[in-house]
Amino acid sequence: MSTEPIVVTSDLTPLSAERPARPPRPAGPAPRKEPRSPFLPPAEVAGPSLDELVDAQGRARPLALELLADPAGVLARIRDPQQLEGLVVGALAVVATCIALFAAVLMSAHEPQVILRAAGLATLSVLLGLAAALGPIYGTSVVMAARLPMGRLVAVLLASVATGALLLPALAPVLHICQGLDPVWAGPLAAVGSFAIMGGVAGLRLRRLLLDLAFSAGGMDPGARFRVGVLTRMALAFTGLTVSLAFWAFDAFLAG
Amino acid sequence: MALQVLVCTLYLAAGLAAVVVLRLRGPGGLAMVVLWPFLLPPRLLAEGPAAMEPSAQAVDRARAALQALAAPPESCARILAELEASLARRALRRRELEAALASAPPGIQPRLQEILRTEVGALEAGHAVADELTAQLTLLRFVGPAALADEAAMEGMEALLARIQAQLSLE
Repeated sequence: MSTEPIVVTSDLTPLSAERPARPPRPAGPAPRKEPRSPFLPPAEVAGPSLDELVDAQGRARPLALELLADPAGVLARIRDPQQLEGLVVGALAVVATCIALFAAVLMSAHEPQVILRAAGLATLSVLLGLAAALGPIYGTSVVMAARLPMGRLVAVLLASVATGALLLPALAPVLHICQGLDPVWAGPLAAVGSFAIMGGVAGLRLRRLLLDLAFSAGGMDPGARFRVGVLTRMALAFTGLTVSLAFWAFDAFLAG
Repeated sequence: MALQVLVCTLYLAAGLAAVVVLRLRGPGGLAMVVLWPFLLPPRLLAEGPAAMEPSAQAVDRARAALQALAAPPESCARILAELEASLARRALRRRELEAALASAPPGIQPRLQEILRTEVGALEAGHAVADELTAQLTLLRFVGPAALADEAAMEGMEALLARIQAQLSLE
């Protein structure tokens, strides 16, 4: 057993060797810039946000993005009469495309003409049901002494349904897999569930847009809130009724 | 089959008539004919003819809302009649002022115009109050007869009636 003291030496970098002078450290730790994340405060984030990038390009935000994630942007479009028609046309295109795509996936096991027929009839059903709901909702708004101008009512209804319809392409793969697994139970249940999710999202957005539109006009006392609430619920009921009646009348998803 | 063709023809004819009668310009004429329930209202809101002046029928609407009520609160009909008489007086005075302004010498025209502006402002305020009364009466109608006994529900109504009476007594 050795009793000598252990001496640690290093042959490679002798302590007496000259070292290059290190740059002086700043007083505090240097803030390290990270990619954007919800866990980081804005001061530690490098680069502009997505919103700032879109604004810096001087382009209008895409309508689909606003429909999905930014009800305030949709509301601003509804309140501007010059942008109203663009919003309506864009929402119509979104609804027609998404519904037709979903119907095509739903009928994908059949021949091409059956798929085309289903896509056309499903789009027609939804648009017809929405158009038929406009009159009763407008009548309710007049009866409730909370008149909503027809142009804005059209835009609110179409924007909400477009928000729901945007979820349908995302749900289509689930439907396709379920149909492949079990075309008797899982497939139809997935289809009904997808439409239920779309209807629920569209209804929530309709309620939000109507209430926000009324609040942004100012002067919402409890009485006005009550009347707008009645209008919102009646709008949901009428839209659900007319769209399901239109689907029932056209038999869009019957093969042949 | 004949019924479907008839319905489609009527639908397209309605769209065509709307485009022709309203002389709508701009892109998408065919889309307007086919999708007129969706595209026509926003276009009218943006560039269509101005809507009818809504305030002229404000008192009529309030009276209709009052008559639709099963058990209207007492004093409501009396106050509405007083409001209508006051608005009629103001409308008459406004017409007289406009006639006087047309034949007035240029020296007193600024003063007359100022009076006319005040009068028109008061008239519009009266119409706004009548619209508010319509809203409150509609609320009562849909809340139901139990609201007449409910103090919280009647609070807005009573405050509004008191405000109208105070305005009328100031004249």
